[in-house]
Amino acid sequence: MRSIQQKRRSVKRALAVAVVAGLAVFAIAEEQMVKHTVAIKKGKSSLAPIATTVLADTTLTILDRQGSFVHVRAPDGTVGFVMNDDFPPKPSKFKPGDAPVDPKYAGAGRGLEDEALSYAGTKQTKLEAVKALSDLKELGDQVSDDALQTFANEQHLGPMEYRQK
Amino acid sequence: MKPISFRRVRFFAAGSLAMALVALALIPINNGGCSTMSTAMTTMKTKFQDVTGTGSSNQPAGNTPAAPSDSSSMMPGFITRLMPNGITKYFPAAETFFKGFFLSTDDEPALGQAVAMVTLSRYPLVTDPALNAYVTKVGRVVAASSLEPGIKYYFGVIESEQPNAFSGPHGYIFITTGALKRMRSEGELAGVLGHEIGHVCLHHGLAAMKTALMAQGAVQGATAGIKQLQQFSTGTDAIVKLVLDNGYLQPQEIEADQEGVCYAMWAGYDPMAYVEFLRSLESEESPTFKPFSTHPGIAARISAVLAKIEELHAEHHGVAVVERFQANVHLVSAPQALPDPKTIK
Repeated sequence: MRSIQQKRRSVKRALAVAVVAGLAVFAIAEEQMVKHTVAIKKGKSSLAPIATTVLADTTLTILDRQGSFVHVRAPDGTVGFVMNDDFPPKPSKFKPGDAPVDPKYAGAGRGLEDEALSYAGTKQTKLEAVKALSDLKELGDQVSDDALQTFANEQHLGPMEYRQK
Repeated sequence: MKPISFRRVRFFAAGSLAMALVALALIPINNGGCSTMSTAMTTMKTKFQDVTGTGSSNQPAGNTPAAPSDSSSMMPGFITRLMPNGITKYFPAAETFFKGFFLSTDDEPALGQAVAMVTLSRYPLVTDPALNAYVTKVGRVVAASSLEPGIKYYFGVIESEQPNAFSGPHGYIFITTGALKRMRSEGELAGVLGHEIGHVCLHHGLAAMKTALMAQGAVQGATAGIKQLQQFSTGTDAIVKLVLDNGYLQPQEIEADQEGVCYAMWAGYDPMAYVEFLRSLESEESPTFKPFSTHPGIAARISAVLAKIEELHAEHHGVAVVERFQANVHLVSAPQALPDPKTIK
């Protein structure tokens, strides 16, 4: 028969192991690199004030994922929100391995996903359409959050809490 | 008291498992699966929303956690990873079925781009960066107040005299020159873009793809091999057909209308501007001219939007923004009956 003291020791050991394991899980925080220059926002909105800006390829610590926003910590310690789309996309369930992207389409569709370009290749989609989408995406990426804020503020628009009085 | 036999326990366990499987199989077939949650969230959101400027300001406008995004994943990640791999080798058709079943918002960016490319191959993009940038800004201001403010939305103006607008998955949204020419204010534009953003937020395209993939998996037979790209093509084709040819289901369109008018209103635009735009189209409607041909009848849409506005007590709040619209949209106004783009090959 084990004594009460031995039982207590076992329980303490089990608790210690659980605490260490728990801390280890927190210690291995998820980190991800941003794909372009990103403004980290103070709130979950593209119209929220900017907390700080980080350059492309900066590694951010993921604190939490909240819908289509990610709560992050920048290397300088600033905490804020970025969009899910600011990180490279997760691998899709559809890999175009059985139909590699035609170089013509890869050239026309800079910045577009491989799956989409493979699809365009097999469907013989007009190259002008692929190029037009690539250009539109580039144009959209050039519309900065600052420009958007100015645009919204001109007419007192945007989510209520971020509207300029 | 009679003891419960092992056989009976086994019977109940098998029954419960079968019922659970049936319930799971039915979820993605229901195209409006995520809509109920969205509507519930919208209702919840409106309760706290300060649309009149007199209510509670504690609830941030347009800042509700984007539940539809999470809900459409439906299954925990580990199941998503395990299930298809385990059955791929011997049952490719089953893999297609389960891929459709487990399709999540992670798959939307590529789908959205594929659908956008097909859209642009049918309707050329207007080569006016200033106009596209203006529409992008209006759209993004509206999207910032939507259920999915964290998606990077892209907006483009396409050449077509037929007033219409299209949206694929993950925020690729297009509006025709025909629609822009009939507008008089930014509020009207915000309403139309809000409607399309509604489809994106409610993941109507993804729901269509799920159904298409599951149907393909079901009819293909257990021994037929289905390549990855074929699966992607099947799903994309289903969305293209829905978006560009047939239009979303009527309840989805009405739902997107009601969502969209809320987003525009929460962004600060006058919701009645959208109603005015729909009314102006209604006045043009004739047997030979059907504006927004991929959408349901305009009268039904006006009623649904008005009901939503009335429910929110927000008849004349917000701004219409006429001057800025006119300064940025320089298209010649020429409303006239033109052939339906569906007939253009």
